[in-house]
Amino acid sequence: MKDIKIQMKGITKQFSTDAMDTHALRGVDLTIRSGDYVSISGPSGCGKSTLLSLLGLLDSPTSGQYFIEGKDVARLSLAEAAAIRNEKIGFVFQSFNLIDELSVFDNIALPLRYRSKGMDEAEITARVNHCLDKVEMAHRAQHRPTQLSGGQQQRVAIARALVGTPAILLVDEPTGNLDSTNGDIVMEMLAQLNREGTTLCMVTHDSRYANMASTRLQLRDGVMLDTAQREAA
Amino acid sequence: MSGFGYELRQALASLRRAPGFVATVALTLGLTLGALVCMFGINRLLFLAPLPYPDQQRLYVAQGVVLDQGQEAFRGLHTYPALMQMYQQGGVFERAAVLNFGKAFLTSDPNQPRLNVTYASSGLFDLTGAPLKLGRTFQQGEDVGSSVPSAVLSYQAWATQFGSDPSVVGRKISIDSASYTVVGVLAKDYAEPQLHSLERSTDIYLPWELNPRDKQAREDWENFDSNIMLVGRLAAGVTPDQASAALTEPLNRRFRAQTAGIGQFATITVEVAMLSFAQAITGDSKRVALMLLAGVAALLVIAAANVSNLFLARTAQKQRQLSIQATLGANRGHLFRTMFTESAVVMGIAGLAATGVAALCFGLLHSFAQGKVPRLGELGLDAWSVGFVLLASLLLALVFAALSIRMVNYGALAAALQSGGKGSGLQVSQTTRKVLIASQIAVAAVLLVANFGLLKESVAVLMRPAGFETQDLYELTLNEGERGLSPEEKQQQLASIGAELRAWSNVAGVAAAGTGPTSTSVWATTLLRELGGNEKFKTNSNRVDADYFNLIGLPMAEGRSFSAQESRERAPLIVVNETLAKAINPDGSAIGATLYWNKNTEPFRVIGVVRDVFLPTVPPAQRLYLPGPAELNLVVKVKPGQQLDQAAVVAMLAKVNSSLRINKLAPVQQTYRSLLARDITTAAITGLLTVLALFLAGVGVYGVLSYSIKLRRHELGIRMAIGASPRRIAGLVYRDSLRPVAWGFGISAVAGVLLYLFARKQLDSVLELGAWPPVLSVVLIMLAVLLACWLPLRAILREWPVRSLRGDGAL
Repeated sequence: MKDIKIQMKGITKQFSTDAMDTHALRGVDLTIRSGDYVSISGPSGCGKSTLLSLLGLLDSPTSGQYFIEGKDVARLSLAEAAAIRNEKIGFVFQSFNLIDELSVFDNIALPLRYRSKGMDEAEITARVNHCLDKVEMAHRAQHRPTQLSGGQQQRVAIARALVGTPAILLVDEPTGNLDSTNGDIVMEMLAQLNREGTTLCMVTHDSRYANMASTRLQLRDGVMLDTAQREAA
Repeated sequence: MSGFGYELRQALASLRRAPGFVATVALTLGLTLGALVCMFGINRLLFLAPLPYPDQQRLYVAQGVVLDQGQEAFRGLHTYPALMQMYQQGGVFERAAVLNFGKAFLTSDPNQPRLNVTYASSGLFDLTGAPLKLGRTFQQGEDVGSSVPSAVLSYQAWATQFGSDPSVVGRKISIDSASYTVVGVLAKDYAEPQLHSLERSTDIYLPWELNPRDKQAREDWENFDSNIMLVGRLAAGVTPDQASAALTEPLNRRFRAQTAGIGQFATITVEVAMLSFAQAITGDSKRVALMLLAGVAALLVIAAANVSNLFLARTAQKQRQLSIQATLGANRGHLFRTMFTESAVVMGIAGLAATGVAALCFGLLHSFAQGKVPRLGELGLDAWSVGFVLLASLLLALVFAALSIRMVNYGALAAALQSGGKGSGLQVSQTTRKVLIASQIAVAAVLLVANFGLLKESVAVLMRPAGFETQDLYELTLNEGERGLSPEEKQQQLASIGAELRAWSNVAGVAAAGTGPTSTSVWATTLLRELGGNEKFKTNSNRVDADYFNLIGLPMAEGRSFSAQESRERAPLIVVNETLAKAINPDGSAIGATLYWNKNTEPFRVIGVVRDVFLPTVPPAQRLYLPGPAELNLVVKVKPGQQLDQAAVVAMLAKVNSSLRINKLAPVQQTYRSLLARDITTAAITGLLTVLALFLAGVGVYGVLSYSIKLRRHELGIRMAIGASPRRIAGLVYRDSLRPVAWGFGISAVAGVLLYLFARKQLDSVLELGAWPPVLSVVLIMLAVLLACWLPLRAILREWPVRSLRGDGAL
C-alpha cells in the first residue's frame, strides 16, 4: 500500500460577507497516496480552486482535518504554513505567477533560498539546472519571464514547483492560459513527471486532461461526489 | 459637447464613490495651492505690478549718502539746508516734493492723541496722484516759503479721530499749539508711498514750511537727519545716474565749504543716490518674499508628488474598468480623456478650496502683517489670483492624468481582462518604484532641513537676550512744549521729575538718558584717535546719567560708570560698549584710552566698558555713552508687579511744568516685543510652514512607500506561496525600501550642497544650519519610512497568501 501523502477529513470552507455566507466546500474528504495522479474537475464555481488553495496551505479551512505526510496542518500559523509550503508542496498556477524582475534561473531557485536551513550556492545551482533540464528550458535560464511564451513560462513554473522535491505537486488549471499545442506539451510533461514518481493533484475543467489522471474526482457545489454520483452525473 | 458631458457624468459618479480620495486631494492641494497663490500675489506686487502712481517708473528718492575717506558711512540722511538746495535746483526733477516725518499732538481733541504728521510740499500729492474723499490738497500758495496753516487728513485719521464727519472741511483744529484749517481728506484707496518705514502711516499732512525746525536748525550743515526727504519725478530724458551726478557735485561743493575747518568733517563728503520709489518701498522685502515663494512652491511640489501617488493607486484600482474600455475599442486618447476629466473635476474642487485658503491668507496678512509687508493695501483676491489658481489647477490636472496614463500598459490591458481574475495582478517595475521613493525622500529632506533651519534662526533671534532687563521698566519720553527749554532748564526738570517719581511707593528707581534702551534711532557721531588724525570710529551715541546702566541691568564688563557729579558736570569721560572697546584696542583693554569726540578739542577718557545690547532689526553697532543726559527722557523702574499710571504721571508733570506733555509712556517689555514683531511673524510663518512640510513629507513618504508595497502585493503573495516566511518577506521589503531611501538622502545632500554653493551669500544671511536640522529631518523621515513600510506590510502578512494572489481584500 502506497504511503498517504495528503489526507483531508470533513473539510469545510465558508466565506462570510455582510450580505451572506458562501459555503465553498462542505465536508470534503480526500486521500492522495504517493505516486497518485489525481484530477479534480467540476463546473465553474464548484470550489475546485478553493480546495486546491487549502491543499496548498494558501488558505485555511473553516473546519475539518488536514494531514500532510501524517502531520496535522489544518491549524498552523502563517509562518509554519510557509515552511510546510516551502518543503512539502510544489504549486503550479494557471497564470504561471513568475516574478517578472527575476531571471528564469532565479525564479526557479527562489524556493531553495527560502529554506530555513540555508543551502549553499553550488547545491542550489545544481538543483536548478537539473530542473531546467527536466522541463527543457536550460537554454533560456537567463531570460526574463516576459521574454517567454506562455508554454515556456508554465514549464518554468513547473520547474520551480519541482526544485524543492515536494511531497506533492498541486497544479491549478495548468493549460487555462495556453493554446492546445502548448497545453498538450505541458500535460505530457506532467504525465511524465508522474510516471517518474511525482505525486500530482490537478484541478482542471477540461475533461480531456482530467481523464489523463489515474484518479478522477468531481466536485459539485462544494461537495466531492462519490463514484456512483459521478457516473450518474 | 455631449461626449464631454458623458465623461463628466462618469467622472462625477466615479468620484462620488471615492470621497476619501477627493477629500485628501482637495485638502492637500487646496492648502498648498492657496498658500502659493498668496505668495504669488505678494511677489507679483513686489516684482511685477507697477506702483499705483502716475509715471511711477520716473519717481525717485534723492537719497543722501555720507562718505568718510571715500567709504560709505551713512545712508538715507540729509542736512536741512542740503535738502532745500537740492529742492530748489532745477533741471533734475520736473516735479519735486520735500517731506519731513514727525509726530505732533492733536490738542483740539480732549484726549490729545499723538499722531503721525508729515510736513510736505504740494508736489507730494501731484506725484502720487492722490485721490480725494473730500476737499482738496495743498495749493501753490501753501507750498515751500508759505505759512498758510492748512491740513489734509488721511482717510484713517478722518475716520478714527473725526468720526468720518462729512463737514470736516473748513474745520479749525489745533496741532500742538498751532491752529490749522482742514482743507481736504484723502480717499480710502490712496496708497501712501511708505518711504520712511513700513510701520508708519501719516495721519495728517501739514505744509512743509510749518515743520518745527528753528532758524538755526534750518541753516545747520553739520547735523544729518533721516526724517527729511526729497522725492520727485525725473525730468524727461534725465536718467537716475545723470540726476545723481547733477545733484551731487554742487551739493558736495557747498557742504565742503560750509564744514571747512571742522576737524571731524575733514574727510567727509556727501553724495546723492537716486533710489526708485519701488526700491524704497520694497526694501529687502523682495528677498524674503522670493524665499517664501520658493518655500511654498517646494511644498506644492511635495503635495503634488503625494497626490500623484494617490492618482497612481487609483489608476491601479481602475485597471479592470480600463481593461473593459480597451477591449471595447478605447485607444490611449480615450483613456487619457477619461482620466483627465476625473483629475480636472478633482482639481476643480481643489482650486475652489485654494481660492478660499488664499482669501483667508490675505485676510490674515491684512490683520497681522500691517507695517511688515510693503504694498499690503494693494494685496487681495483679484483677477490675477483667480487666474493663477485656474492655470495651476489645469496644469496639475494634466500632469496627474498624464502620469496615470503612463502607468497603464495599454498593450496588456485586454490580456489582463482575459486572466479571469485569477491573480494576474499588475506588477510595476522596480525602477519606477525606486525613483518614486528616492525623489519623495529627497524633496522631503531638503524641505524639512530648510524649514528647520529657518525656524532655528527665527527662534534664535527670539531667544537671544536683549542684554538688559526688560521687566518692570518704563520709558517716559516728554515733550518740552512750544517754548523749549535750555539745557540747564532740562537738567532741572529732569531732577525735579526724578525726585517726584522716586517718592512714589511703586517706583524702585529713575534714570535719565538721551534715548531709552529700546530706541532704534541713531545719533551718529565720530570718535577720533587723535585730533586731526585719520583713525576714527563711527559711533551711535547716547547721554546717560549715573544710574542708567544699573537701572536697566546693563552690566559693566570693565571699569565703572559715571558718578552723579560727573554726570552733572558732563565730565569729559566716556563709557563704550564691547564692540567699540574691541575696535579701540583689539588686543587689550580700552580703559584709559583717550579719544576726541565730535568737535571737541578736549580729549575724552574711557572709564568703562559696558556689555553689548541686542535689539531686533538693529545690526550690532559701536556704542558710546556720555555723562549728563540732554533730553527729557527717563527710564523708570517700578517695583515687581507694579505699574505706572499715565494719569498719575500727567498730574505729576502738571505740578512740575504745565507745558510738559507725554510723548511716550510704555513698558520696555512691550516696546521690545514690538521690535520683535517681525521676527515673531517670521517665526510663526516658518513654524507653520515647518508643520505643513512635516505633514506633507510624512504623508508623502507614507503614501509612496505604502503604495509601493501595495503594488507588490501580488509579487509578495507569490513569494509566500512558494514558502517565504513572514520574516523573510519583511526583510525583503525593508531592504528594498531602504535602498532608495538612502539614495533619496544622498540626492538631498548633494542638492543641498549645490544650493549652498549657488546661493551662499543669500543663504548665509538668513540661515545658519548647524547639526540638529539635518539630524532631526533624517530621524523624522526614517520614522515615517518605518511606519510606512510596516503598516501595509502587516496587513499583507496577516492574510493567507491566496488573498494577495487574488488581489482580494482592502489594504
